[in-house]
Amino acid sequence: MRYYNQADYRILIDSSNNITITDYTGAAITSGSTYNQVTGAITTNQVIQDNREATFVRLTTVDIASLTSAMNKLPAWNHTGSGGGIIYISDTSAGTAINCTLNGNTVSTVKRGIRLKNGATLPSGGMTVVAENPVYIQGDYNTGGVPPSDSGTYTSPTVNGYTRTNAAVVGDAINVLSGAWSDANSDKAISQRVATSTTVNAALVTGQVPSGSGFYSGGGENFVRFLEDWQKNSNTFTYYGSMVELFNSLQGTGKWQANASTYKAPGLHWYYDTNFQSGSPPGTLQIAAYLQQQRWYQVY
Amino acid sequence: MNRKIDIQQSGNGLVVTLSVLATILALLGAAVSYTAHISRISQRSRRIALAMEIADGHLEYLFTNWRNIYRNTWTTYGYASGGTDYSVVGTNYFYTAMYNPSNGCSGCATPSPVPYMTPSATPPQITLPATSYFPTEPNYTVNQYRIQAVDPMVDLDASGNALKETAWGSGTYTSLDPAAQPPPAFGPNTWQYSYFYLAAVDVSVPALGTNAGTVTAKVRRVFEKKFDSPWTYAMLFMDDLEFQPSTAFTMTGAIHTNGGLYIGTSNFTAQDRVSYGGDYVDGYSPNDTSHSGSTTASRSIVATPTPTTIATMTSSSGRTTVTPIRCRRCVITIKPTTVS
Repeated sequence: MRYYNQADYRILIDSSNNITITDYTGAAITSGSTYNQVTGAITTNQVIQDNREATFVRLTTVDIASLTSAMNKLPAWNHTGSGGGIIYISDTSAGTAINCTLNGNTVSTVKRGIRLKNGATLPSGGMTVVAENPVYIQGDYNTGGVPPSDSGTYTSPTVNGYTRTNAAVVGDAINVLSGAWSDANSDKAISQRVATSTTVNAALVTGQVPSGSGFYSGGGENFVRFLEDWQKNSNTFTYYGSMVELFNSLQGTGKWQANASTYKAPGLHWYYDTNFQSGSPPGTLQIAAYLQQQRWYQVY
Repeated sequence: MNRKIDIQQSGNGLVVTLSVLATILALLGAAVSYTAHISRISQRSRRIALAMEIADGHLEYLFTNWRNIYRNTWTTYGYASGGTDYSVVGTNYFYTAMYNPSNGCSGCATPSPVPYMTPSATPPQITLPATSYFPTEPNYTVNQYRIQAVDPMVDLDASGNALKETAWGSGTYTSLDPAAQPPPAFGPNTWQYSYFYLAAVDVSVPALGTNAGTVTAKVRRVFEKKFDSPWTYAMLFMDDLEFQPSTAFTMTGAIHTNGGLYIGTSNFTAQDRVSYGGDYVDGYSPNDTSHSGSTTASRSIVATPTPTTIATMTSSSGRTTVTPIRCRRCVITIKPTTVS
């Protein structure tokens, strides 16, 4: 079943930044506490320069902490009873040229993105965010705060006392922006886009831009896309989760390039999250394998 | 001086000569007989092996068709609201040229359509592979060619038809309806479960010439449709997977790609099993023309398809890399849970 149909809430943004919210039944939510809770956590019409895409991207930012701060205002949350919630969010105007403003300059872009911000603490039952656009995870995610892994203790990806939940982020592309990210500096030189060590604890489902036409796909080591200088101060990206590539990206189609003006790779500390051996992020994503066992025979 | 001739002694020499000759002839005859016997045994062994190879070929053909039918036609109609999960089907969905579950006929009717399947509601009947695929022995005959859904213990009646337990642990069995889903096997979690199908092929080949009877090989193989969570992998790729990190990069957890696996650097280390459905290349993808230069010579890896933990190893050039598992039989598909 499509994630769209599984989602507790579906949030659609059109070219004019109008927000349409429906719950899992398809019922429109146009006012009231749920509407205010959701729209209060969303900021539309933000713009960054994505140097991999070599263009500007209009972002819709979801403040995770704000969204989940009053769960009683989200009655459809965890409607399946599985314990966690699923948010589907999409800017449906991708491909349409729109004028935006960055640093006082009017820029035109056809690219769209969804940014997840303030996601250090997630609801205890887990959370899955699904976007049809490229996703930008900004800052630590599902860590409970600034974890020891950001200071070199890579085996401690959460702050003391916080239990990371089963979380997933699904998008056309997955970008990680460090906690030091600045929209205003996004169109500046790489020397002004210096990252800070960041940790993400979530399963990721996304697409890739395959090798071809003289370009390398970026490989498994670039499953997550970066836009900052992580090498200055030897910053790291710590990851606990499970990475799944299902398709070729349709919107985040910028090719990976070994170009120091795009990004400088962090020290990668990636670990499979063994919590997923006994639990899953909210929502159903299932695989089927077709296997043959050893044959046996009789002869006459 | 008279000389005495020992006539008796001369006669004994002739007898000994004849005896030796007879013994040699007897031994020669025995050797010829033994050789002929061994030859027949060897020839029969070759015919047995040939029959099994032909049967194996038919099993591969059945598996390919079984998998393709499953991959191309499945649905989850009504699943979210408690409806039937048609992504698992019974025997009736896998008719062959020689087996129809309803009547066992040859040249039978088309398979039963399963509702809500897309794109096709009626799967194709699985044909026999062409005789020309087995040029070594064109005079083979196929006596059985079938796929049937079975329970996890592969319980069969005396006629080889599937049974199922009437209740778990009851020890009593009843026929498994060819139209019904087979019972699943679960583990280690409730979201990890499998359905099993028994493929059966009987092949006869002439034993020692056209008038010397036949040798029959009855070969069986269990096909498994295994549902699992993608989250059991650290990295799961539906397409080609490349690793060319410029600095040291280590991953924990299992890695799988349905496509080819390309590793051209010593910087990558996997600390768990690595499997692939296409090819493994100790170098760069042919689509990746941005990388140039030589890596170490390609290694031909034919590993067991059974997923096992693979330890890191160091090749002769000092490259620390992994030994991936060639797992053509482990191609994974995503159940139609799509993003949008």
